[in-house]
Amino acid sequence: MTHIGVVAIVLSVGLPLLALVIWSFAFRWTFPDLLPSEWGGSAWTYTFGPNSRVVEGLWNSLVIGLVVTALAIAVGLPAGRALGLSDFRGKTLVEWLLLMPIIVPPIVATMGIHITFIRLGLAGTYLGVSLVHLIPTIPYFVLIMASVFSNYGVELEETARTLGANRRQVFLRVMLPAIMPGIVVASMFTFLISWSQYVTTLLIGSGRIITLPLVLFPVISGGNQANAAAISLVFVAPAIIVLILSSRKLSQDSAIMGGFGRL
Amino acid sequence: MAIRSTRWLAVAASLSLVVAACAGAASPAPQSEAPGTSAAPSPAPVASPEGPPTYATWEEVLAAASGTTVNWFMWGGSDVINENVDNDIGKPLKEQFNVTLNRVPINDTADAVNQVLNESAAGVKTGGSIDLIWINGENFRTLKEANLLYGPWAEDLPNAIYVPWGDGAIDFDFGTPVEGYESPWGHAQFVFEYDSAVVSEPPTTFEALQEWIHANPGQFTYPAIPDFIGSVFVRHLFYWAAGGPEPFLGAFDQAVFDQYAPKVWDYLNDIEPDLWREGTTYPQGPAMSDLLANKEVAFNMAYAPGNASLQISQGVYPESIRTFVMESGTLSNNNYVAIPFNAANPAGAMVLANLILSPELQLAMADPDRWGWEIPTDPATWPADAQQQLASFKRGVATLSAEELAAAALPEPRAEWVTKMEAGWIENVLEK
Repeated sequence: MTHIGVVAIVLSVGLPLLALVIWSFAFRWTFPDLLPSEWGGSAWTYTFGPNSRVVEGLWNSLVIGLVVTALAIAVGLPAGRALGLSDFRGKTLVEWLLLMPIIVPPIVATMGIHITFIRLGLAGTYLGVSLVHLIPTIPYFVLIMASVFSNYGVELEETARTLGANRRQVFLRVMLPAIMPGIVVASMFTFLISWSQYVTTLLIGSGRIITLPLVLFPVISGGNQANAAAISLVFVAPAIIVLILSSRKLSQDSAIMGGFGRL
Repeated sequence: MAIRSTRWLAVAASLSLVVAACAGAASPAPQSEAPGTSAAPSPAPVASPEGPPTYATWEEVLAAASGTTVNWFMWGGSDVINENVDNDIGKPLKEQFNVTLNRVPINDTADAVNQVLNESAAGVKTGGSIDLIWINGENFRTLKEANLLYGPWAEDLPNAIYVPWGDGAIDFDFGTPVEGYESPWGHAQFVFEYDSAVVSEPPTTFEALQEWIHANPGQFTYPAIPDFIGSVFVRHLFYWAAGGPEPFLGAFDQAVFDQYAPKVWDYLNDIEPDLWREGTTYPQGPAMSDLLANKEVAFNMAYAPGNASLQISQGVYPESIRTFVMESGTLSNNNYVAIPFNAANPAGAMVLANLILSPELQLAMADPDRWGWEIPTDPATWPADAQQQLASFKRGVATLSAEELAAAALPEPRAEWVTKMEAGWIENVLEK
């Protein structure tokens, strides 16, 4: 059974990627040819050449993605703990409000924020773009962490305290190891959502911050499949690396990850 | 207690972001759109712009521009255009005028228009993020009517002598008077592309096209509105129904619209069952290229006469693709560059707009091996050697001759007609 599952996953992830790889080296590939009738490397020359701005976009996307993930951990970890462990009046309302950015189209939210950010001098800055990426990412981060914490035995912390552990030791050696898989999953989500932001980056970045989606989306609409395929491969590469790294991290079974199944 | 209050702070911090996110719900959101072409929503009235820098002489402009960066927002979907802009415009701009080009690739010109509208709403009257926009039609009208453009400046450029200002085709952009608020860059004309391996004799009247579609079911389609090309096809049919463009060049008139619209809807509903996939669905604009390249359909349309030749040289189209226009003429327009009212660097933007009108650059654009564009300047005003060079260019293998195109050119309707025709198609064809 596991083997069939693995094969299914490898095929479903791998085959579309294989098509992209072939496309990126195709010069002329029309129906009904099984493979391109002419090959060429011009798409890759363009992708890593100076005119596509792919390399610049790659670095910007990477830096912003990491900053957003760090900010999301700082805000989302305490929030997730509060929502997962405590009951308080209005908790449902808070949870519902947290979901709002997923329900409300991001373009609508960003249009309003843009005006505020221009006034605050945050438009066109890395900080501004990172902050606006928190809007679509925080809900996922907090919800994942809340669900992780709802499976978390807070008694462990109390036991550690009675055995003489101080607050820092409890945090580092009791809580953190227990919720680490959750943090990894939530951070992965956060990074990838930030990685794929288009409208928010375009508006708040004001054309000064060029990320990978800003480069990729116009190329997709432009109709040159080879270029679109090459840049798409650059675009999905981090997602695949993150997936492989985190699945290894998460494959050590953890009771707390029961809600997510094994990855 | 300390722990508890930190928790609340964290929850409150997350919430404030959420609330901030929802605060913008009243702002305008763009409609779905074709690449680089659709219109931004009309803005609320805004205060009139104040305090943009002005220059008395061209020398002052050059001096102010030297050492600056121009942020040029333009549709970034074509690698060919991107490379040409960086190499043929960005490099001389730096070498000759010490101006750095920052080409900002966008998916839709409406994104740039929204940026200007938002900056205006936020009270950013100077130092705006956009210095120059590649623009025309509805987007130009939106910004001009909202008084959000810098100018007038276009007719004062030294190279404006090469532009046929005074010609209605240049003075009006989809019926909106240009009045010096944008400077022409490229010229475009609508052509049909067809696969000569499938269609031996292209149908050059709409009646012949209708017969061909019925005789060859599944081989023809057009992109669904709001796609730009789909919208042009429908406009083209209105010209056919009315026997010419004249009724649509003035202000919108419902009676005139009602007179011709039924003939257009009848035509489109008549061919619908014999379209690609029995007309149950219409493709997206960019997908049409693939459909033609893969011989799923025999026709595509482009608002660029040189597109087919370019696609052949790029390996997207097979060698057998050719182009034609209707005997009754074909739509044409110019595209322009405009400077927003709050541009941080209007001087640099004007230097760029002037550079692209120079005979050297217009030659590069007209060269089928380099840009393969149609140009808005009048070559008769160029120096003799530049004219000779232009005459020596070979047209692309699938591109019609300049004479044939010039003879077929028809003006675009006023922008408000376009909106009504698009809405009419959705109501009377798509939803029928």
